[in-house]
Amino acid sequence: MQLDVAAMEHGITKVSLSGRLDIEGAFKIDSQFKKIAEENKNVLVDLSEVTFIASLGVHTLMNGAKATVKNGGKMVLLKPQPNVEKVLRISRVDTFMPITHDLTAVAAIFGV
Amino acid sequence: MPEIATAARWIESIAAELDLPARQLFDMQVCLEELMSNIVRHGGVYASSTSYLPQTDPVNGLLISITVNALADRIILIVEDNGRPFNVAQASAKFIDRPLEEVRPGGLGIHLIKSFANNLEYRRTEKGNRITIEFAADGPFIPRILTSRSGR
Repeated sequence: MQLDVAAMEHGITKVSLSGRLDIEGAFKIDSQFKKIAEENKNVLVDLSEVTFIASLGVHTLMNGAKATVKNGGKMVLLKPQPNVEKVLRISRVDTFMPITHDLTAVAAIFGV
Repeated sequence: MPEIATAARWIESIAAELDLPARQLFDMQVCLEELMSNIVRHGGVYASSTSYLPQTDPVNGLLISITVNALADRIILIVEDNGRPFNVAQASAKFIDRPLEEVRPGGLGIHLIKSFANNLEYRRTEKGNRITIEFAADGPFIPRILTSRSGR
């Protein structure tokens, strides 16, 4: 599991994840991911290179989303692969972490 | 828990052998990861010792056996362990149904198992827990001889 961070325009922080967000992957990035979320307001998580996710990975994303909400912002999930998106929607995390496949729509979703 | 990653890779090799579609492999791996992490957390040697229920085998520790049975119309995943009883079929499942700040860990894995499996059965045997999960096959394929491997 790999995590990369980049600054985007409009003050959005992009976190790109790649690999398996399984138990091992979640443990590997959990604290770093949470710290990034705590230090930023609007966080875009690029999931296009994430090939697997299970409940612990969902909790990693949720903990990050909680931190951004505390900062008055939100977390948006970008381009999850179909199987990963299925897990996210079954878990119903999309009720508070919008999922989009359109990078040009991101600023509007964040309201910036 | 490196054993879970090992099991996931093994299921991957079985799926390749059976030429299963990626979607089916994904569903099986989600269920397997959730089941194994439940077994380790609830049935293992590190669980509360206040229970009157039998302890895990003190010599061998926690043993988990995984069997994949490929039939013409479905794949059957059987996970057996020698840990404390944990009826996954009756365990409460939770999805995210409350405000974000009130969300607590727990139950989501069970919800995923029940969502991805076409059928889920639990049986307590002399040896421990036996969980049978069925997945409908995407298309008919030639039945294969039962394949199994054990992990620890």
